Amino acid sequence: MIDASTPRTPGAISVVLRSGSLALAVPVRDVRQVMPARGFTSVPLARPDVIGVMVLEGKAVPVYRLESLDPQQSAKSPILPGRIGSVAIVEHEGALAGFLVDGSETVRGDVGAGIRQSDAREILVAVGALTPEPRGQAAADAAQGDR
Amino acid sequence: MQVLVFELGGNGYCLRVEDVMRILAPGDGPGEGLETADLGSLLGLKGVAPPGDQAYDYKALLPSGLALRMGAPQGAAVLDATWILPLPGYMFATAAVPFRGIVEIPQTRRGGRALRMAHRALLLDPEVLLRHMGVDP
Repeated sequence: MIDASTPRTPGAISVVLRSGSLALAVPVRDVRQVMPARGFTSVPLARPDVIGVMVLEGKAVPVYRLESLDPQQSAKSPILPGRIGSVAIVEHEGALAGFLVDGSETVRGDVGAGIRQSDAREILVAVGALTPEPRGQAAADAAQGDR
Repeated sequence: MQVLVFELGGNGYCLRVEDVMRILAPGDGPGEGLETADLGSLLGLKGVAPPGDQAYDYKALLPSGLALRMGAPQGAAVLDATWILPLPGYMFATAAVPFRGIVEIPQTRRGGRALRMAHRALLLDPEVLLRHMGVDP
């Protein structure tokens, strides 16, 4: 789950992903593509927030409910039959994950009140695709590398 | 690599030919002293292949002697091993993942008719599946 608002550079372009009452702004550089929600393969024994996998450029990419990123909303909310939406593919350092969304739009600058802000790294850590890096660890590693 | 493709609950599942001794048709038992397991039950799928539905009653006899009820046979396909796309372990609720990966099934033609096969299928690792589910492989 994501719980922090990532500071955003003024004037930066974000993609706002929406699903139900959840709206999440992600830097545009972190969104690989938004595509029609088709061609999932459901996978038994997957975590409850996993809808299925898509094959994208030779990789199996897990697709999650966007709501699973929100601690306020239950990941158990049902996927309604016939729900047609899009899948936003989020990428960081080669790790990919898809999120089922009802819609998305591009926003420059302030994304507005009520919209949570995040980035691909935070999102991919939340779903387990990346391991969390201790705060300040990258800077410590860089300093050690300079010695 | 040759695989045998089955349909169960709208999903494609396949086994490598070398993981299977033979396929048992509906009504065929695995033989005296041998057991049967149901793929749908092992994967936690409910109501995908009702007991007694002949169309789904094809079983794969594994080298251990266990007959795994697979579902409706779709045919055989030849795959390049590089087509097996691994599934990330973090997306699973279980520690052991009983799938070698997801594969694209080539849509071949026979006698001018396209075989009706699943476009994609999950390639099973029967040993992991049975061990994880408490069945001695």
